[in-house]
Amino acid sequence: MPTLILEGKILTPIVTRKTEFYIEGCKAIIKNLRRRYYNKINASKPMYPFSFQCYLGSIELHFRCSNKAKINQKLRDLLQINAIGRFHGEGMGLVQWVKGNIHSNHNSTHTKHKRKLRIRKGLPHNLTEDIKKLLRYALLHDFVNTLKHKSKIYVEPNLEDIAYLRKHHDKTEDRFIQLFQKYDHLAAIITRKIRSPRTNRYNWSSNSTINFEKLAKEIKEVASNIWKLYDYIYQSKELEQLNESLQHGHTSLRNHVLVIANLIVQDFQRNKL
Amino acid sequence: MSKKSFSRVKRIQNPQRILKVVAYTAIAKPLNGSLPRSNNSHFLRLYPIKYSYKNGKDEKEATSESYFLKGIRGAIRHQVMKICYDAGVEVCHTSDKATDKMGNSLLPEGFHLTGSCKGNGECIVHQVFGSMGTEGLISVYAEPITSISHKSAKTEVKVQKVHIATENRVCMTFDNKSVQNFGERYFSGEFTFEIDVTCCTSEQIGLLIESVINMQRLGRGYNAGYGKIQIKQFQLLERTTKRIPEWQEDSFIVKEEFSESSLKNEVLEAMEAWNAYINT
Repeated sequence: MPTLILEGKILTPIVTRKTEFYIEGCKAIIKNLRRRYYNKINASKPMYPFSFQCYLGSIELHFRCSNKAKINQKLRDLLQINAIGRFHGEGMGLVQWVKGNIHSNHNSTHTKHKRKLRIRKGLPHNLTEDIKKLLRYALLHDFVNTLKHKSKIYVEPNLEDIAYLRKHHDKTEDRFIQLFQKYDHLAAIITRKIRSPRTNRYNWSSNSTINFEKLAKEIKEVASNIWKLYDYIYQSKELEQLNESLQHGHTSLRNHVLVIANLIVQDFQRNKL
Repeated sequence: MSKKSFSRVKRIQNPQRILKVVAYTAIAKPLNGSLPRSNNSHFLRLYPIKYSYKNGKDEKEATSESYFLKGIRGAIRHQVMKICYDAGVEVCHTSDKATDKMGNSLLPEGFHLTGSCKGNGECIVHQVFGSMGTEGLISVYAEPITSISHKSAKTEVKVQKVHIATENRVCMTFDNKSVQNFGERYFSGEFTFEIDVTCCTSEQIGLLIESVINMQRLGRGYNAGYGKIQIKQFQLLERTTKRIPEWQEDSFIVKEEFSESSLKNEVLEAMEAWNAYINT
């Protein structure tokens, strides 16, 4: 299908969270981007909701249509656009259109379907011993004290391999811990989206208080069986109310732990581990 | 009451009516905030700009950082509010908070909470500047500022040449050395900004002209003497913009053409309309 591609230079930063978005029936992609923060008050740190992410660089609009007359009409309409995004009244998001073209059969790499990570209801049965060990380590790692942080449920459950679990932030040559750290970082990147600092572990969506000692006891009871442990975390409403990171007040500890487990299972099933 | 959604794009409406203002400041700090791991407050940084200059017979090239001039719309709004207060017209305040935690009133006399007049008897400030969920009518823009010391400098992009430097604000010293320095960037010089008043009525333009003439502050630190503004010149323009694609087989280049003409009579009409609005 013929595609109209209109390229422009961003004069003042476009206030948007994503670098790819849909606007006026077109797909907009920001390229060669440089991130900036637009602060509304004198904030000490660029953090949501006092500051907004914005991007400089070049912008491309893609419009797909089989009718050439419609494409020409759309081009005339798109050239009238002066600013994109929020705060255009304050002079943000100004765009200067430079050039463009019409591709007869354009297949953008960005339009390819990306498969999303699905959170499983339960773990599969055909797991090897190494994977079981890695999954158990991943599901329990945030409930123990380390040099970097205290237990994220405030109370440590009495586990057998607690000393080994406490090493999950250390710089070691242990390949098992290195492999776990890779998945931990990946899950943190996926789950941490909005920066907003908190002083305690409760996140913004929590409404009630949690009995942490009871929670630690229950985790200890199911820790020996990874299927039961996964199921307990999956159905836990307490862990959903807790933050994974104090800097990111909209995350949840339950999601973080489940995302690591699912990334491991996904790679195991694709033979990528 | 139907909610008006924000449009995520702004289109050019031909012909545009633009209020062009030339101002001067000795020192002003319209800052964006501090960068991570820094105590200093900075402007919103844009692109580095390339320029060429003459060094004797040779022609050399160099780059200079450009910055966004922020906070002009807010400064105009505060002046508009002051003028309306002096004229006895009740308008929107900047906040929608009536009281603080202790129950003390935060709303001064002569104002109502922002957005509370939506629907019936919308005030003139709400019409022009909008509120949460309602888009305003005007948009403000200034060319990026940059500090280039070479007099013969030529740039490809439109910029405003001013003096930009950092002021040291040392809070703590130890052994005659600064431990904490909350430095702030400032600029000084003549600058121009434009207000798009295409959608405004003549009363609203009159109010904006009067507030722009009497504009006094920009940026932070006005109690300590920073950010005082002198308005040197203003003009109401009618601008038509044409963007035409020049085709070469399947690709094209966009060419822009401007034409401007001044609207002298409309300034007087707008001022009269604003005076009539106060008296009624």
